[in-house]
Amino acid sequence: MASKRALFASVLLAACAGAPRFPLQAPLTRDTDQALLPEAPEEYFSPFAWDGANYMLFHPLARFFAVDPAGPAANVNALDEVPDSSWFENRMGAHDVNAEYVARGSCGKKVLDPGMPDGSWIIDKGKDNGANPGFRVNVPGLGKFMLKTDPETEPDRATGATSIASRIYYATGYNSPCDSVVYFDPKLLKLRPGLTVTNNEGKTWAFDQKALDAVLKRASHRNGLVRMVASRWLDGKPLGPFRYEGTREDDPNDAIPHEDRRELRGARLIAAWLNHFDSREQNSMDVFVRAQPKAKTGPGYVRHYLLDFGDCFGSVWADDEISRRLGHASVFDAGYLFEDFVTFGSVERPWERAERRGGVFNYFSARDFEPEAWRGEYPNPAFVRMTEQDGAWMARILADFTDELVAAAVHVGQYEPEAERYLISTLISRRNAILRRYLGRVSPLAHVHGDARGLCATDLARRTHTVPNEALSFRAYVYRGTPLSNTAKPRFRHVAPPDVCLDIPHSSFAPSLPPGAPERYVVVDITNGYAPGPLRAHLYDLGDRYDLVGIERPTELKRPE
Amino acid sequence: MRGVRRALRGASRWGVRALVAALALAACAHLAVAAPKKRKLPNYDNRGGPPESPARKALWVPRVLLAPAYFVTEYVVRRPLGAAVTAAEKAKVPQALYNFLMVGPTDVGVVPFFLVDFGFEPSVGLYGYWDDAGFKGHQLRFRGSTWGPKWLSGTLTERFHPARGLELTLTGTATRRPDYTFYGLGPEARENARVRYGADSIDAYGQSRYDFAGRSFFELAAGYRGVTYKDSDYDDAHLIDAVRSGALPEPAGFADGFRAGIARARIALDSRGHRHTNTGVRFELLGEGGASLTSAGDARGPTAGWQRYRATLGGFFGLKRSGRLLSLDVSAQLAEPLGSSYIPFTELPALGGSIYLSGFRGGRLRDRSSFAVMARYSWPVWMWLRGSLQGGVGNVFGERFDGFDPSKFRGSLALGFEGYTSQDSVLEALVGFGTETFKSGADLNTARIIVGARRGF
Repeated sequence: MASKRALFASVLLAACAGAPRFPLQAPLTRDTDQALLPEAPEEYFSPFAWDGANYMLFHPLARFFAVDPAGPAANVNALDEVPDSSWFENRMGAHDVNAEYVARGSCGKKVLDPGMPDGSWIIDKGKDNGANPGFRVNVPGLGKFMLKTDPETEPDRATGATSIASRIYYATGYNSPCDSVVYFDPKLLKLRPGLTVTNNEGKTWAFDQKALDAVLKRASHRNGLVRMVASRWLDGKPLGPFRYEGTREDDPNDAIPHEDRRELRGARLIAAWLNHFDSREQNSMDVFVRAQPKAKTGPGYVRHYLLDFGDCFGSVWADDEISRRLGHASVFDAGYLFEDFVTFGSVERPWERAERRGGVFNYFSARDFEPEAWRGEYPNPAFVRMTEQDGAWMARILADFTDELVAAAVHVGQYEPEAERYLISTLISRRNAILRRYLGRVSPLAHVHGDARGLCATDLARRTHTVPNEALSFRAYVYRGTPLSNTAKPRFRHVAPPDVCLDIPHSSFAPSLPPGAPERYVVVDITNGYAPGPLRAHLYDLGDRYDLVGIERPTELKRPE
Repeated sequence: MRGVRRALRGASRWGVRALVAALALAACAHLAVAAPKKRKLPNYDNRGGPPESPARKALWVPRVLLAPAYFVTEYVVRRPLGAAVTAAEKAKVPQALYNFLMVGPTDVGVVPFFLVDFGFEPSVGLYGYWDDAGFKGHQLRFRGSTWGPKWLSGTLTERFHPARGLELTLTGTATRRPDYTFYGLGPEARENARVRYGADSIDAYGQSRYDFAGRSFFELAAGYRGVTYKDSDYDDAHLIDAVRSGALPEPAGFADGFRAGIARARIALDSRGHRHTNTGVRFELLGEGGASLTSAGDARGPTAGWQRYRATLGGFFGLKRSGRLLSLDVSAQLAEPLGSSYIPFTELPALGGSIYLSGFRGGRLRDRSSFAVMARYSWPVWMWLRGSLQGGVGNVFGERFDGFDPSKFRGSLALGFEGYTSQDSVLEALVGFGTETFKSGADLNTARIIVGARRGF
């Protein structure tokens, strides 16, 4: 009863004051979007041509007149984090994400084993479309895998990129398929007779031994073995791609406009990191996951996947003028076109300086990489709404993606040693560029928790050496009660940076004062001396401990309302 | 006038009714396929979301002001177009269209184009290409454009490359247009003297070109050119009326046209060679002769016959990488009749159009000789598009530069885009201006706007 009164009081206070206060309540860590639906929603048809035309031309124009700049993301919990959902699961920080975890990705133990007996990979389907040819194998006990080759002109790159990127997306919290590079002896394959494939133009032909030989011939080879990427068939019923804006009308769980989901907005930084310029809706997939995994009918919910990462790490197009722009500009970039026209080309663009020195990774490098300026092949409606806070959220995740984890992810690409070294160092440099940009404007203090004496956090900018790791420039300001008033300066506890802890003296309250009473409300601002905005922690002084109930990361240091 | 107003009122009333009906239908359709109710969202941050900033609240002002533009772009353009294109994609219409237009993977295709050159009839057309049609080692090109039966143009070109650096071209063009302009001859020809005429022309020639030392080449061509001039029904003053009234002397050849054999030689020497640099010097010389194919006995008077020369000296300076190019060139043209022949007026040296003094329309300035100095700057603005700024001075003069006087020069300035994907067809969007002669005050008195695919092969 007392806590209800306290909740009521805080809500009332919130109604009267400026910013509403956080009630004494546990943060939401899991979203409610996995309620079972009685049947699968309809399959969505993703229009290839319209998607490009819409987001390159029509959508930006209409959104300009809509005067609707991005506000805060809609699914952010009290701790400035994203709760687990059918879209995203907090893995970095929440699980013991080590090199082995990253290398395993979503594959678990179900990976193709090239040591199986001859003829045990049964080809049951040709690959209809796509830049890279392939086929599907059905392996008893393991399931179905789509095997794809590299583009003829880019041996090794795409197969490795698909495997590495799927692990990076998975480790950072997204649903991604199990894609793995496999080297195998063609004797493992057994072709089911009577197969056909139909391309985008509607042309159908037999997928026979001759067609299979052509696919295998096109693939990269090492020591007489064929190199392909094996993508494990996703469990559940495929429903087609998800859109990066709006919601799926026939899915009651899908209630937040996708362009306002923080994990989709923040995915822009991973796409920038890996130069996944092809991060459009066609490279995503909704899957209806049934409550009974092996059932063909029955209730379930929609899970959202990101897939097809073969463009990462320097994919090139036939036209070099496009290739050198990928990641720097959209294929048709009206903004740059206008700027370059009115400035008579006085600005030298990064794609003019681009040099194809990355070996198998072509133009992929850390040179001229500006995370904020990164662009996909055409605008992604969620990416363009990424706010500073969304970017900082993703940067905090990437700060936990250590050099060791990068190396572990890259190793699954099975590149030649020199290429592997190049990719590791390039990815580390690009990640650092992201951290420099997005850990510098709002507070990079993370892993925040209240304890008996006060509050502790870790400065990710210091920990990642984005800024010097010294302890002198932290400042803290504590406000209490109703209305919030300054209290004596808190004392910093002696802990080694990048950790920072604050001792906040407890106030004395009447024993009958409810735990959630406004008088117990404490707001702490901590600046790290580099970011202009503080970490603003909202706590309740419970006498024997401080409970953390909310975190904000304003862009400037101002007295809380 | 009242009738027009009434009609407009009626149309707008019907428009409103149709819109209301469409909206009602859409609403019914929406209700008929009502989506399941969305889940109730949890209180994500336990406090009902962060407070809305004053800046966001203030957005309602521009939002209301721009609402009409938003309504049009979102609900009249984007959504209906999206629905239509998506439906077409679902029905595989683009594939069918692609299959129809692109017979092979990349070496056969048809591309639509348009051209709007303000002051002339617009045109629409198709450009087709087919490499190795029937046999290996050649390129077949077709370009057809029209703006009704009185504006027709078709070109067929076949190119062979029998040896490294050698290109043989056979090409034929037939054109019928009703909207050619004529302003009189000489440096003082006034903008307001513009009259129109029509013409049917056929041009066919064979050409060999040998590229050497990088960007240098030697070219020889021989063929046929026949032109029949006629009255125009374009909504403007007509040349034929101006001649009849004595306002303009009849241009040479206008009455009878001509049929002539043509021979042409051109050489270009370019110091840039094979190097990647864009900095260098280029000299180009062209000589062309045309002799009437009508025998003197059959002719009612003198026959057409001319020789024409053009020399151009240009300097190029590559400013940075990726094609920022500054150039300055000086060009002089001269035409002489062959013996007692006359030079058809359309074969006289001319300025204006795409290359020289592009602020003037094509053929705006004509006489026996011409001189122009052009400064150009081009820079990349997109993968297949470059900006183009062109300024120049020059004019046409009499026989062998008779009356040459720099104070008679006109100025020209043009700014625009130019595509550079194909040697066959150039996408262009250009705004240009031209002046009267400096002597008469250099008043800005002509403007040129062109948008579309400008030129064939």
